[in-house]
Amino acid sequence: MMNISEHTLATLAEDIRSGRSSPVSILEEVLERIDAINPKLNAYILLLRDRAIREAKEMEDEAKQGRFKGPLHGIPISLKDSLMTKGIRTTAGSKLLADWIPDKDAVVVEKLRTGGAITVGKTNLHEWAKGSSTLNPFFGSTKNAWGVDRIPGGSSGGSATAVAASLCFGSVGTDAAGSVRMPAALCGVVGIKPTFGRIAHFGVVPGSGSWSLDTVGLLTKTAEDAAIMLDAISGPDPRDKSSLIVPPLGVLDLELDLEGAKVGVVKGSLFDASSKEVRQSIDMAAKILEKLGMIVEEVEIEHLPYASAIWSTISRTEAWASHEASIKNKPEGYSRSILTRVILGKYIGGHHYLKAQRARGLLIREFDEAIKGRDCLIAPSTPIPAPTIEEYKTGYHDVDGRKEEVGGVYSFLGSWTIPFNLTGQPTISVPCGFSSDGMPLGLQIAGKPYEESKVLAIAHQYEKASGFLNKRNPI
Amino acid sequence: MKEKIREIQAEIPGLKLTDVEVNEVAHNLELLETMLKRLDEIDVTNLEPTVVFTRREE
Repeated sequence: MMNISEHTLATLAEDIRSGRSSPVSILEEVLERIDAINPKLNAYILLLRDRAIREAKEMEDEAKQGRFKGPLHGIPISLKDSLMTKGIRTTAGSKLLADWIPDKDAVVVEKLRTGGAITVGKTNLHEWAKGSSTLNPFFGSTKNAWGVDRIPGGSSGGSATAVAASLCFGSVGTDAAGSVRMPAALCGVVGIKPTFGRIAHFGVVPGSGSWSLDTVGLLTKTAEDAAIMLDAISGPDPRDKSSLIVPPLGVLDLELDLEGAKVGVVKGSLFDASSKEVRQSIDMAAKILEKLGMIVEEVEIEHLPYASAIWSTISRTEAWASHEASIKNKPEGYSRSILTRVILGKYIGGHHYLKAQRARGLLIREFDEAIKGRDCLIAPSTPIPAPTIEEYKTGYHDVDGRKEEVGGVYSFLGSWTIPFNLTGQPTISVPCGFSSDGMPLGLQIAGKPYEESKVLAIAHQYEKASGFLNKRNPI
Repeated sequence: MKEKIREIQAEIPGLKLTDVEVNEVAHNLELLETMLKRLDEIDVTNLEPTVVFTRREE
């Protein structure tokens, strides 16, 4: 077998099914990598070594008898530690939950187990999934595999790092402001936030992320891997009503004929505020899509610059509603940085929350107009590459000579991802280049609601044409 | 702003903020006010709140 880090989820699945490799030997290699690399990166905050070995042996026995639970049979994956795992500590990155052991699994955890995936461990995250750095004061800082002096992004930073460093072959995260797509972009991997409701949300720790904005998402090495995982874990569940109204995923055809497909590249003041290298990478991505036969046109969305204000109002209000009682009773259970953010919700009136939800409707309408008659919209995943840990702590990053706030309460980092949390449409981030100092950049591809299939096909064909997947991080 | 911070500290007796943290809260509150003013710039007349996203946590 080739070096494990050269593999993707899809190639491992093929090797397991053909008998070229076995779940136990794959897991052993992954655990060796984790032992060697995780101390440098802190992607995992809990390893489930014994349990994983036991499960791998079970999967191997079944494979020997020609029985496969599905395409994830024997594949090592990880879970963001805001997903409940029955009998296994689940912290949401919070000191308050440092010893909490849930008595139930999240729906996605149930589905992954049924599908034969092997959970290697729980990954680090920003405290309560409320931040973009994964510098966690209670469970340590996660480092970026492309440069250990850089943040991996957040809040699913441990998941992105684990995938980037081949410490697993797919990870489940959550995304209320870009918490899957942003770290995916900053760590050079793929991150998909499907349509709101596509993956049942039950079992995500309440109070993590945001009530009306949060979606379960996936981090993988390729769009093909994301399609395999999405197929395994999507679907309705009565414990999440929003999942009941979503039509079936359907067949995911990654080789869909895209000749003549129409793409809108989102421009305007937010694009102009992104770094020059980011803007160039998006223009280059547009040219690659044109070479693939797609028709690319520029679009502008009038109220896009207001997305941050709309999102902040909704998110802060919902955060205070979730945390008010425990902040009042146990303020010492929160880091000061999270406490001083969450407390802001106290000063947002009901009329502003309602106004933000009405303005959200306006933004949804404008995005619907922009994508009408088109197959997707594209935009940067982040306005800048990964800032250094020092910059994040200081709070500011230099963007072509201009200072932008990256560490504070209204992080510039999420400005391109949050609009798609407000609209709820499926959006994927794929690698689209590198900054001059070698840090990955990401391209977002957003589709119409429920059209994950087309989003994945465009991402897959772009990946193959761009060649960025072949670049390897120094880890 | 100072009044709001005093209110926060009165409401959460266990919370002892350092001077640096008081400044951080004040800065965040200023940013919040800016955000709410920005929100008020949007004309939402005749728009219904977004209610398509229903969810129940148990």
